[in-house]
Amino acid sequence: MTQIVVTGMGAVTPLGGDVPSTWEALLAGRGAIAPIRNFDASGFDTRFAAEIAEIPALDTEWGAIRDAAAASDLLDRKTELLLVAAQEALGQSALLVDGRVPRPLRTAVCLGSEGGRRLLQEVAQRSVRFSEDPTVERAIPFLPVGERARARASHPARILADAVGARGPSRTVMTACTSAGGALAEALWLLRHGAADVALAGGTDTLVEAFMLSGFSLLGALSTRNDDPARASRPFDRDRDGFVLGEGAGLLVLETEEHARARGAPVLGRLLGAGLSNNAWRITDSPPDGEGPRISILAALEDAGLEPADVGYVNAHGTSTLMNDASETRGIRRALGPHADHIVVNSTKSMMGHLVAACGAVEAIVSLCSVRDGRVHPTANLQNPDPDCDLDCVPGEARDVPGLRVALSNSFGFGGSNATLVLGAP
Amino acid sequence: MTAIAGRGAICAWGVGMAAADAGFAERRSALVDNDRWPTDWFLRGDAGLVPDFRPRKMLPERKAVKLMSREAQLATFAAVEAATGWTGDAKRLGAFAAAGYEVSSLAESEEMLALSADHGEIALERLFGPGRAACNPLSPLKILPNMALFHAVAAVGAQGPHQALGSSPAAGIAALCEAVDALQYGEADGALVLGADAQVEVFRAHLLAETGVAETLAPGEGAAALLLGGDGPVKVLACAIGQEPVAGTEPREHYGRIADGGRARAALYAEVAGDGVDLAIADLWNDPARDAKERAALPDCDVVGTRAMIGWTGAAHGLLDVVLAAALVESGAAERVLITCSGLAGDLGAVLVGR
Repeated sequence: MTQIVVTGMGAVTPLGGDVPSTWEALLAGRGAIAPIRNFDASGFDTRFAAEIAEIPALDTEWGAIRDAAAASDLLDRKTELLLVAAQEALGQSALLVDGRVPRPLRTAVCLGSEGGRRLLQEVAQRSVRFSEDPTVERAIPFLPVGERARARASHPARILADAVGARGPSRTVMTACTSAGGALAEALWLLRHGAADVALAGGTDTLVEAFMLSGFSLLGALSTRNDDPARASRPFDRDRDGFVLGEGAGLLVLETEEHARARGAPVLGRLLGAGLSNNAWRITDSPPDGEGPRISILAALEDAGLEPADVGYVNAHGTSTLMNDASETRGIRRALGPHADHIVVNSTKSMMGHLVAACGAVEAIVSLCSVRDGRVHPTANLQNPDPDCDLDCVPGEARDVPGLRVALSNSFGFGGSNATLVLGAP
Repeated sequence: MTAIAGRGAICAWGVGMAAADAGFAERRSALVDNDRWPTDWFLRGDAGLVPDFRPRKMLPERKAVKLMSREAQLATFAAVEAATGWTGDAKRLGAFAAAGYEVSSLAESEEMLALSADHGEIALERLFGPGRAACNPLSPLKILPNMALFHAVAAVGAQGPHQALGSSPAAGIAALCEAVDALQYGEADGALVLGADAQVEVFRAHLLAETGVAETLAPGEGAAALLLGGDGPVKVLACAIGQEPVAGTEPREHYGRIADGGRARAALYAEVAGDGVDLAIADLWNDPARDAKERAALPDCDVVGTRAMIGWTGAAHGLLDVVLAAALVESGAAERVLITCSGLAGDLGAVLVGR
């Protein structure tokens, strides 16, 4: 079977502007959840989130790409975050020649993204501005042209593909919180099946906006621990009360091993397999028996040609909602059997919140860092473990895991989507 | 080669596969006056609206209907019709969907917006106070682009691998390619392929006007579904997606300009058509200059297009043409049918259906 390797990783998260700073913060157990600064959230039930305080500067070349998009009214926050992650990942991989991919038709772009979020806010603003009685159809013609283009979920993928000249298969996966995990699975299979030699794969999302906060709050999915935001995201803890919105982007450069070796690229890790499933159950709830996660975990292991006993670590979806964490625990236990008592499990969201369409990419990068260093970050705020979440979820401090070779990364989404990735050492 | 085991459709020709097959056989225009919203500001008053669709009576879970966008309702109907014959393991049934914006429930937010406004602006304190109080807590879910897929797979119980792919008319072909791969590589025993869209929703209708599409085509709505797998006589013989250069960065330049004279699509069509076809259900937009380039890119065969008859159905369209082609092959009216589709920002798709 064709082996798929990782030759570049880039991330911008609430914890840091690149992979090293994000990884360092995670190992230190340092969170980024704080009162919202982006807008006045004082009237909301939830008034905190994990925001990116300042988008890191781009170098001259990538800055020119960003500026060109901005000049055409095609730049939005999630695209800018993606460009930051792409600069880091592509720089590390040394793939580009004069700023372009060397083999355009053999380079795929697979991204997790969601469209239309900012658009809703724009429609809302204009519908009340242009009409005494807010009427959506009257507001539509007044939307700026760029707003419609930016509203497309595939917009960041298009901007990235154009920026580096990638003309191979392009996939935008839109399965809510599973989007980036699904996009990495797409990339893996495109490469393995010979449709491309290189894939730029990841996800980007920005959710800390008034309408998103309002919508998720309506669903009762968010933590309301306003008196103590830093401790609000507490996956697997008995006192958890919901997730925390975040924002960010992650991008991986994936290549067939043959292609990477031929050009002398650094091999940072491996994407060994992927599994997808659907709960086909309820729209927002996880099945209590963990059946959907169980299917995706087992499908991923089968895809990688591995057994449960090969797994040393699971980077959990771990949202800090009552339902997800218990359901995920059962899914892991049912998939891995008795071996579940011999692995470590943690939640990156305990410190950086939920990056939704981007979380699968950033958490895959975190998993690769863990395998690389033989060390896993703690699950922050895990002070009173829930008896229904009875795995070793790494409370307290980061921990060495000697001999760690294989990690799983789970992503589960509204609409019953499940994705599991299998990540390995170089 | 992948067998087609089931088909489902709902479009302006009517509710169900039989209505779609009959409308297509008659080459009948199904466009009607658009009564969904005032069209005085819009450049045309007709649309391809689905007639006589009563979701609460026609969908399996009545209680779920209120949680569904229009796209989700259409997708669920088509999925249930296509998957009727599935008797295998639910965990081995995959589902792959082309997703649109799913913003058809925007209008439901008008009361919320009215209550959130203060001197012509959304006031956040009002949004989260009286505005929110007027909103159905589950309404936000209707706009998530994977919800049509969710409702459809929940209705048929598909638990296998699944994806919802980007908003583009060619995304239905991309979803079909995904499904074929999933079957070929043993990731699933059966695969449901879905495309659903409601371009008659006001936001997308305006997009059609802005991009120039509405100058030659009416907005439409519909959904199509295929159940793949097993040993049926009608098969997907080949399918592929590709890209062609776009003419520029403006929306009008993104849509269907065929900036390279048709070279990229000609190459893709030739690859998929292989040894030739009887008929092409083609990417025709009712625009003589543009359609001449599409026709020139096709192999030598009879050519028909459905968009002028049922309207522009966005993410549903490529698959709608595939399910119609399957009926032609099954009835013996054609041996090999090529379906072509293009979408946003240069996406292309082509499928060959035959025995």
